[in-house]
Amino acid sequence: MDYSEKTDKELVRLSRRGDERAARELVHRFERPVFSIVYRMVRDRELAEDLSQEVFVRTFNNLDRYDRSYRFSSWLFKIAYNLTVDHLRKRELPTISVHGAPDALTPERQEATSLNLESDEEAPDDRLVAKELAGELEEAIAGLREDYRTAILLRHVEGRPYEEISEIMGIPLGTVKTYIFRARRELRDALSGSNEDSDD
Amino acid sequence: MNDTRNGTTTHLAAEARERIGMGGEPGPGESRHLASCDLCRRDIAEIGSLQERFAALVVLVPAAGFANRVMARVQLPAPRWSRVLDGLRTHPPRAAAVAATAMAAVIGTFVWLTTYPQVTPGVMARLVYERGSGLVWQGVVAVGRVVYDSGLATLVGAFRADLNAWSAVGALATLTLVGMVSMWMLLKLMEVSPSAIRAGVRRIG
Repeated sequence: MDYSEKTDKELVRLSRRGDERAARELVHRFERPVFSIVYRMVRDRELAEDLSQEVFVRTFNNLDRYDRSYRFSSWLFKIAYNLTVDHLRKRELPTISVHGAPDALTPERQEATSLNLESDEEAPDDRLVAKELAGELEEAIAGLREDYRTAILLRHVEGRPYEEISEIMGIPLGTVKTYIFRARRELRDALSGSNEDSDD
Repeated sequence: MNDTRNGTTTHLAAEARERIGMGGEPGPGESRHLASCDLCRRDIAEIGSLQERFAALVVLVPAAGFANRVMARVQLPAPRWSRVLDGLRTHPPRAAAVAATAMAAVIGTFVWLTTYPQVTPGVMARLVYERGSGLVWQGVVAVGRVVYDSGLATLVGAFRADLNAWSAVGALATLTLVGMVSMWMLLKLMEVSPSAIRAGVRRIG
């Protein structure tokens, strides 16, 4: 049986019956787009691999909850989007003052809980960015808000239609159009700015 | 051309500009508009240029062995044959019934073949098919006879004079409803969602 010729829905049906080869074919089919989106969102290869793995594991372990009236790719990207955004938001928490946690009453405790601005892990400017994410456009994409970034990547890199992006991100169609319009404008401004810089 | 900017000029809609910018062919009306509109041409060129830059981005791929690492963590449902075996293992009476049936079939076939050596498996299959289809046909005829004998056919015939367009439509609607309910139940049995409209893709995690 040639699994590469089967549709996503057929592969999902077979996977639900426990066919491992069908599940593996789905992983091969979507590992690049899922990893690509997640990597460009978190900008850390190791973390992107872990999150992408988690996306597929959650997808397959919840196949019985997949509604077949939707595209499998929409469902998969939605899980990827939710997981990545959840992770990014968790990483921002807990919010603490640079002068220490609010409940730190003693100078020692304030020192212990204060935010170290020189940390490589937390300071984006100092963070080592992999070579594969170098380049003007990658930098400009990284500068976008996370929802603009997701929308523009799904549209221009993955070629997803607006309706599908709306399903994936769980936002109205009009909002998707606005996000993409604004993301393009910000990219255009960032790229023209970087070109001017390089001209100087 | 249903988008208005500055309140004075009608331009191509945003969707049309994007479609053309991303490589789509402009329609005749769109081409005419583009020939005379700098603003739309510039917008389309910008979208096209951005799309080209996106197309030139590095293709990001996970490290080798990604699929193996995923599959090692995935718990797919067991295949159907495995579930059947599990069911038999956990229900001894069911397993005993299946074993007894299989044994009876094997012994019966053995006895049949030794008693009538001229009846090969092929001949036996043909006999089973012929007798089976004969039985089905006899069953249909028997049901027809019962219906006729019960007077049901006569009863329907008596009503025939009262049939009109409305009663025909009513009968058709009833039959359709019964058919749809049957189909719905069948789909449920096959684990296919009967409703194409569901609210959102459900969130996992």
